[in-house]
Formats: sequence, structure tokens, C-alpha cells
Amino acid sequence: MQLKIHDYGLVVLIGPAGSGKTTFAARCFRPSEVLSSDHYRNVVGDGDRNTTTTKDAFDVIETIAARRLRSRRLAVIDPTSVSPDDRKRYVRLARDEHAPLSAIVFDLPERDCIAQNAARGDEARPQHAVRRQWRSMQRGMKKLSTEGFRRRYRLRSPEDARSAEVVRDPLSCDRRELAGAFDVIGDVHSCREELEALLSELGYRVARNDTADGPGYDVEPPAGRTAVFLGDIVDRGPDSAGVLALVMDMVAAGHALAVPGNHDAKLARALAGRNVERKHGLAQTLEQLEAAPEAFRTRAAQFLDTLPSHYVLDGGKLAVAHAGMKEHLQNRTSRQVRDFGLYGETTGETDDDGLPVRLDWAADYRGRAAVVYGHTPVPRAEWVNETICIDTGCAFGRRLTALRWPERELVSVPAKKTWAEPSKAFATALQATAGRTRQQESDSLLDVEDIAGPLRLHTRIAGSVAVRPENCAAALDTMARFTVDPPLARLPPADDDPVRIGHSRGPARASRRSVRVLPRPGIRRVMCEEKHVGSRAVIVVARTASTAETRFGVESPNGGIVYTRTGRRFFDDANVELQLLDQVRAGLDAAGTWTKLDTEWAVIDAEIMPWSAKGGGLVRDHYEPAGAAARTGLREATAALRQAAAANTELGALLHRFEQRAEMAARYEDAYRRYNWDVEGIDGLKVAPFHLLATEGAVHADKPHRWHMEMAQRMCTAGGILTATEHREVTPRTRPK
Amino acid sequence: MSLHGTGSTPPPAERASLHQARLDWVVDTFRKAGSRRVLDIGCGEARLLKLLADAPEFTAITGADASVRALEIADRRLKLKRRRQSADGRIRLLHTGLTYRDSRLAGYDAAAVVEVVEHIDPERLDSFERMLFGHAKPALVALTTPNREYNVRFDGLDPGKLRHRDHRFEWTRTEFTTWAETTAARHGYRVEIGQIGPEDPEVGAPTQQGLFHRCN
Repeated sequence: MQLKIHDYGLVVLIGPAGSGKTTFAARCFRPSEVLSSDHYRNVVGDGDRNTTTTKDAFDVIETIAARRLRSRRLAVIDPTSVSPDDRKRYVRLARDEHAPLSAIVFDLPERDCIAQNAARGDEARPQHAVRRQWRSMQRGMKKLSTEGFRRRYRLRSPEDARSAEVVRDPLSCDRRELAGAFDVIGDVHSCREELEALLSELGYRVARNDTADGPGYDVEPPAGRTAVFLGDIVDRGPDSAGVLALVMDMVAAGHALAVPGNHDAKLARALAGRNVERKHGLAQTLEQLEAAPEAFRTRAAQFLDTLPSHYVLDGGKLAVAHAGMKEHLQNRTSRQVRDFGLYGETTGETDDDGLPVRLDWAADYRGRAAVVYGHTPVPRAEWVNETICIDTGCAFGRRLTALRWPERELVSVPAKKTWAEPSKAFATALQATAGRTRQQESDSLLDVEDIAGPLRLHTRIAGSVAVRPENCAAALDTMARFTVDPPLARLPPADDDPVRIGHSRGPARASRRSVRVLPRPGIRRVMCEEKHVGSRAVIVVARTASTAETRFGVESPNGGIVYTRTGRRFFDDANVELQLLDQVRAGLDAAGTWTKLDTEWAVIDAEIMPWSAKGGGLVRDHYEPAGAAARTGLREATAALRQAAAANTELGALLHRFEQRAEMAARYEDAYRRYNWDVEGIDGLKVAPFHLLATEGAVHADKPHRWHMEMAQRMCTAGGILTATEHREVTPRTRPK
Repeated sequence: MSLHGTGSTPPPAERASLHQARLDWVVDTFRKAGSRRVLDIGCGEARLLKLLADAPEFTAITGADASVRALEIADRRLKLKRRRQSADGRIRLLHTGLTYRDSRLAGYDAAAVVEVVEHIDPERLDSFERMLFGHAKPALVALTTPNREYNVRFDGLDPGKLRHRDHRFEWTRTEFTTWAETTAARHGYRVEIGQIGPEDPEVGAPTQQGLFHRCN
């Protein structure tokens, strides 16, 4: 006997003591998969069989089972579970975790259970307990099929229990082994001609092949490609039978996969003879199907019944469903999974047209699989948070759209005509809005949950990075109060990794010294650059103000922004920022950056001088008072000492010390004054770009330092406030041992 | 934000009584509206929360602020440690950015926004509005902000200057009314505008307030 269970989920073994559950479990499952009450009674209560220990053991079993289900593992419940009441908690658990639930019933004759129990010696349960359990199980058996166990098996003899084999198969939605490529097709809604046109645009050869059993098709896909239908193949359009035939034949031939839409599910119920409202095009569909032979309708009903709620494909990188699928529901099964696939997330309320009010689950989607879906007509298919709706309202006279995966190319054909008038809500949804893309709309208001710690960030080049909760909180503290609009804060400045510099003047000598202390072996060329003492700034600059708005989705009259290391706006005066950005723009014009890098914007790491322009507070509140106090005090003191020393030569040494201190104070003032000068508006400002952080489609961290310096140098040929950074490349000598 | 109530002008005594008047107005408004679950957006060091905590009719009181430091002080001032031990979950503090949507702020009867908006950069106000009126959506919002016109009545304040270093702007009465009405209309609220503090015939009262009611 073969018992087919899913490759993950909850398996409940039902049977009285002595029915052979434990032996069976040990033979058919891994030890870690089996949760036995005896074991956990030992763990929590040293094997006591009192009520408290039993309750604790069962709670632990349920907790462990829940964790295992969440990580898509198998959990086998070994305790007797003979009555429906015992089983209720497992039914609820499987439903809450969206996991498949199976039951294996050890329905052995009573005498076999008693005999096998007695053979356990010290471990044996009292005979009256076995009898009670056996009778309890028999009473509850009739209702088992209604309890929610999707797969149920019954072992009727000790031989059955000894010989039964467990076979594990994946969920019907789990097709991760299919690597594609795929052509995912949006809501067809009975638009047969458009579907044929789209398939041929995608390279499928489609030939009509009707038989006595109704319409039919022969389809030849392009090599290595499979079509995926996102549901709502019927209703609204002119030829439900034709579209059903095409989809069914493609699926039967292995050229396509299909998931059901809410319209398809409703048709399936109507075909099964259930009483459904014939609204939203269903009446037409049933009429169209009346023309086809009975056998065709039967086949269609069966076909629609077998479709899984959604598919997970391509190693888990792609999920497809009619109305979308949240991450925690992907590759799982439950009523909620099915409903989400059909209807998406709804508020439970209905709108003026009697349609359910839909929630924008995609705005909160943070899953790793891309989700392609349809259901809600949109004016254009757009990615948002790795999800894309490709229902472009073909039946409403718009377009039928496909997404090619993994290419992520959109292919679409226009509707032949308006087959159905959209409801008010759909008509509004289909109105193309200018301005922000859906992604920009979604990004324009961040969710605090995304930045609340602890965070684990998965990066491409640095693996996974953990951020502690207190660091997240500190970041939120600063960011929330001072940061520029997040869509404009494209990149933080790259962090410095400075070498120690010795006491020598001039870039050349400093660099020789520095390279000597550079502690990295194997470095052949070193770029040395002049150290500016100003304030670090990130400059985001778009070619025009309107490109800034279309590209970043925020209003930006200055066509960009200048911000500090901590994300604060650099200039209080928007006019200074505007003039600075204009000069940077001129620099990029001069360097030919726009065309060379095929970009309409750039992010530049730069130093803005003088230091006093931003660090003014530090100079004014700390350095200048100290300098002024030292200068004034020491002037008076040396003057007095000089007079006194003229009379008393012994004071010469003291005078000398004070003169030295006055000299040091003067040097102290020189040191910070060198980096401070008065600035009026933009006049007097200097901007030294030294790193081109990013342009359209590229973060330039992979470019050699020389490339960045050349870019900066070329920008600075525009002159104005742009200041070139002195630099040279040196070859370090190997250090003598 | 944490900075409300610590403005550099007007003089301390007047400042304290003005702030008290604002807080009294909020508590009074919440009482009259029969609010039970109340929120203080930008609760700072919990001066308003303390008043709310003393009134038993408020069954859930939540303070939200962007400053961790302010929340630590609030936690102490409200003696939350002891309340937690006695399993009194009535008062809660949340660390959140005021320009981020936060599902924890949804489902309240009323929210106070006392001297907060003027600490938000004008270009981020839109995010704040969407967070509060679009996502948190309390049935009632009691909001106060300085009346810039009144600044000429403060002796120590140079003409054209704002009342606090961290104020990103201060509104005249017309500016505030325009903002409040536009915002209310955009998010399905209606608003009543009023004043708090001694009213000057020429420049109005030092503080202006808006009471937003959610329609439906």
C-alpha cells in the first residue's frame, strides 16, 4: 500500500495505543520529523503521565510543529489523536500555517491493538485505556472526512501497518524545477483573436484543429518556452469556448500552465450546476459554451477544477497567480491561499458597483520571488516592489499583455475592439495617470517596519548584513527629523579609508610617507590625492528639473539636491543650491558625461569649501574663542613680561616660554583660518568633485580610482566654483626588511 | 517632537501657561468627543500623555516620537516600568518617524499633534499628511502650531525670526487655514480652525489650532 503525502506539512497518526503508530513512524519518517508525546513528556516532565505534564508536552509538540511548518518541513503527530476534539488543534494549526494536512488512521481490530500493547511490557498502557481509545476512535471515524484532512489513509491490519510505504510528492503549486523560459499572459477574457495574435507575436505557431468534441488547437511553442496563463480566461469577450480550447490544449500538450481567475472559478461553479449570479459576463460565456458539444463543457469543467491556486517557478524566483500572492502564502496551500490567488486582498467592503474593495498588497510586498499577476486592469504594466500586474484591460478595448521571463520584456497586442464596457471603478483604474510611476508612488512614503530593527539586509557583494535594533533606532531618530526626501537621497557617500599621514608639507612628500605606512601587501599602484578641508557633500544633479521629477518621482525645482553625510540638506538657501547645481551641470556638460555614460542624472561625492560654510558653528563657537582668548591674553602677558624682564633678567626664560606659546597660538589660528573664508551666496564657494558615485543604471564603485579622478578633472575644466583635486599615481617601493 | 514646549520665546512663564492651555484644549476636546483610544503624535517627554493617563476614560493611550531620548524620559515620567509590572497595558510608547507610515498607529479615535508640524521640513509635510490622515486615519485630529503673525508681540524676537531654532517654518493664519483645508479635503476630513491663548485684535492669538473630523 502506498500512502501519498506532501513533501512538507502536517501528518496526524490516528490510532489507539498498540496500533503500531510509533513503529510505523520510525520506519517511514526521519526521527526529527516525528513528534511523540512519550518523548516530550520525558522532556518536560521526566515521563510523568499526569494532566499538567501531558498538557505541557502537547503544547511543546504544537509549538515545534508550527515552527517546522513555517520552514516548510514535515511534522508527524504521533500521539493517539483518536477523537475529533484531539484533532481540532492540528486542523487549526495546518490552516494557520497554510500547510497540507493528512491523516493516517490505524484502524486495526481491537484484539490486535490489545495484543500489541501487551507485548510492550513495561511500556504497555492499561488494557481498559486501549479499549476506551479504540471505541473513541470508531465513534469519531464517520466525521473524519469533514474535519479538513485533505488526504486520508486507513490501515486495517497489522500487516498493512508493517508494509505501507510513504511516498512524498510536492504541492501542485510547487513547480520550482521548471526553469522556463516563460511567457506569462495576462487576463484574456475570451478575446481569442487577440490571444492568437499575442501568441504568434511571442513566436508560438497556433493552428485550429476542431474535432467532434468541440473546438481544438495544435500549438508549437518556440524552443524552450512555456506559456503561463494568469486566469480570467473567460467572460466579457466574444469567444470563451475558443479561448478555453486553446488554453486547455496548450496545457494538455505541456506547452502551458494555467492558474484560475475569479471568473474561471465562477464558471466552474456554474458548470457544476451550482447556483451563481450570472453577472459580469458569465451569462454570455454560458451562452457561448452552449454552442459547443456537451463533452467540451464537461472537459472545461474538469480542467478548471484541477487548476492550482498559483505556481512557484524557476527555482522559487518567480510566482504567478491571478490576483497576486503574498510572500508568506507562496508555495503553500489553504483556503486563504486559494482566495488570495483568486481575489487578492480585499477589505470585505464593496464599492458602488458592488465589487469588493481591493487593498494594495503589492505596496507592502518585500518577498524575494517576483510576482506576476493580473485581476485588476491597469493602464500600463509596471513593476512595483518586484511585482507586476499585466492585466491591461484587453476586453475593455485596451491591450493584451505578456511578460517574458526571465527577460522581463513586455509584449502586447491591441484589442480588436471594446468587447465590454468597464465598470466605473475599472474605468478609473484604467485612466492613465501622468507623473509618478507606481514604484515611485510606493517609495514616496516609507514604512517604518522596513527600517525597524533588527534588520538583516541581503546584499549582492557583501552577503548578508545584520543591523542591531538600537542602531536602527538611532538611524531613524536622525533620518526622520533631518533627512531630505528619501527618493532624492540616492546614495550615501562612500566611506573614507584614509592612510596615516606623516608631518611633511606638500602633497608629494606626504604621499611618499603615506605609501610607506600603507599596510597592504600586493598593492602596486597607489593614487594619492590632495586632502581638502571642507565639508563632505553628495550632489544629486539631473540634467533638467523635469528629468529630476520624472526619474525620482519628487518635485525638485532645483533639478537635484546637495546633502551632507547624514542626509541633511547642505544649504539653507535654496538659491545657493540652485546656482551650485547649475555649475555642476555645466561641469558635466563640459566633461560630456551625459552622452558618455548615457544618463540624465549623476550622483557625485564632493568636498565643499570653505570649511566654515558648513562647519561654521564649530569654528565660531570653539576655535575662534580659544584663538582670540589665547592671542589677547598672551599679548598682554608677554608685554608685561618683557617690561619686567628688562629689569630682572631672571625672567628671560619665562618670557621666552610665553613668546613660544604666543607663536603656537598664532599658528593655531592660522591652521583653521586657512580653511575659512567669507562666502557671499555662491561667491567664494569651492566644490571639489572626486568620485562619480552613480549614473543611470550604474553604481561606479567598480571603476578604478584613476577613472574617477579623470571624470572629476574633466568636469573641472568648466571652471567657476569647480576645483580640481591634485593627485598623482605612485608605485610603492617594497619595504626593505 | 521632543522639542515642543521648549521654544526660546516667549518668556518662560507665559510660555508655560500657553503650553498648558494647548494641552488642556486637547484633553478637553478628546473628552467632549468621547474618544477612548487616543494617540499623541510627537509626544516628546510625555507632558500631554501624563494628563491623558490621569483621565480614566481614555482606555488606550499611545505616544509616538522620533526621538529615542525623549521616549526614555517619557518612559520614566510615566513610570511605565511599574505599570508594565502591574500588567497595565493602557499606555504605550512607540519610536517612529513622523514621515513614515506605521501600521501601529492605525485604529485610534483621536490623535493630538501639538506643536509638531512646524518641526517638519516643508517638502516632507506631504509624507506626514499621508502618514497621519491617509494611513493612521484617526477619527479626530487635534493639531496646534504657532501663529507667525503674533511674533511681533514677543519682545525678545527679532523681526522675521522664528520662535525656535528647530522650527522649519511658522504659518500665518491664512497659510495655516489654507493648508488645513486643503489637507482635510484631500484625505476625507473636515476641519474647524480656532485659536489658543490671549487674542490680539490685530495679529490673533499666539497659537492656532485645527480640529479635523474624519468624514464617514
